[in-house]
Amino acid sequence: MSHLDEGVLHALLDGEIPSAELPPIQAHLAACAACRARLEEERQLLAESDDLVELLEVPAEGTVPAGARHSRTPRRAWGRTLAWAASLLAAVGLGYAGHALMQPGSGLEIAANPAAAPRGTDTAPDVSAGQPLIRPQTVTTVDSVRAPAGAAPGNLASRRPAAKAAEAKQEVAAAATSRGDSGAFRSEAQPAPATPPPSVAEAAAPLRDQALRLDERRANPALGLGAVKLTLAPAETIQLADAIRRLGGSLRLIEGLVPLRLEAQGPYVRVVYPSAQGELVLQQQLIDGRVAHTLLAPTGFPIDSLARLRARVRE
Amino acid sequence: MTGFPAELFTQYYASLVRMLYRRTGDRDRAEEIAQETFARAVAAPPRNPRPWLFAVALNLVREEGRKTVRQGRRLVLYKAEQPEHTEGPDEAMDRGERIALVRTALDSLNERDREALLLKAEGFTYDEIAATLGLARGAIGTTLARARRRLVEAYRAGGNQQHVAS
Repeated sequence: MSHLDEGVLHALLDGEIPSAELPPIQAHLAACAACRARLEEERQLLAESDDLVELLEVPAEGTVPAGARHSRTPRRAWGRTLAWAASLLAAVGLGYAGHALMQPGSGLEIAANPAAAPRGTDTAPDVSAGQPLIRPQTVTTVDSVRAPAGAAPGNLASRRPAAKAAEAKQEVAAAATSRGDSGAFRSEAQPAPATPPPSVAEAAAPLRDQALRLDERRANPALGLGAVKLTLAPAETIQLADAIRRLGGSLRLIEGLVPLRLEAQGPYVRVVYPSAQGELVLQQQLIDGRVAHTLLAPTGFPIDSLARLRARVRE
Repeated sequence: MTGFPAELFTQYYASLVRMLYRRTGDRDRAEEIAQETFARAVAAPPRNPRPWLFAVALNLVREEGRKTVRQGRRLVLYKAEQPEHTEGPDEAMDRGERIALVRTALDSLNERDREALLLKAEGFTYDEIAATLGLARGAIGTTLARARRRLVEAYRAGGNQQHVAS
């Protein structure tokens, strides 16, 4: 038998020689010192090559790795992205059952909205800043932080005020929860909530009424800025046209990203995107004729990426 | 079909992004291409998802490469200092410089060799590499042997040179 060529040696090292073809190869190696020496050389070459490739790990967002290649990433046309989103959602919309983004009884609370109406007035808070009145307790936006573990629900005093991403210590909890059945929507990157969600105290009410109750609480410190718990129906997957209708004729998307699905839960419409850390959610709602949106990210999502994605939200 | 795209995503997304990043050197581009690939998988679910996903993704990279004008927009910057004494190039360079050299060495491979190497790094079998790249299975061993050798040789050669930004 002639000497073993490098392709055979590498296939042997990779464990890719069919079992039926192994015996003659092994017999040759046993008898040929030169091929044994070459096999060892190729083994070292393979190991060195693997080590080199493994150096090229995906960098954290916001860092520029040494030897970075600054190549222009072509921006696909916005219309093309929307067309893909529409075709994607048309393909999957009927195939999914909704699931609750928030576990039943997870509780929602009204955050202290800096843009809220002055104390004592009965006007609805201004949402021009794009901040929703109601923020999920277990999910935070890029501008806020999760309350420390063990903090009482609605204990707004325990929440640190929104700070710059570079200054605030941000903890972003998992935005999505898994379905109870097959867990098909569970992302392995998403950690389960550490503590069970608090119970729901009140049924959902119009946002204006909730704002009034918040003002009452502010006017009477004895009441405290406690949480107003809401109960929402489970989330359901919806079609693109339905999402647009629910938001009064407009839907916001993140330019350049293709959504996994659209969901509706109570007043919210959510555009769900995949990411390496889990699902990224662009949550929107219609408030006084205007669409307010919040970008919700899973734990570990790079802060710089969040800021950049927020800048790419388009109507 | 329920859960199918989500399962695909969970199983392959990170690996696909990593391969694309190693292929392109651009994290944003890697994620965009990965997302586009999964969108296509949802629209037309493949029977053999893994080779299909990676093949589509690599095709998208090639298509973008043909369309994108890169002159004057591509900057490769690295610097290797001459070792002051007789020790290997690795000891004289920090990790960042090593990464830059690996990137350059990888770019010196031809397209098929580079892609075969990156797919193998993602745990692809020879059958899967052959299916993804449209090669004969019997050629994969030789392709990988050549790719590995050229990568290591190019890396070693780059470690003994000084380069400037161009």
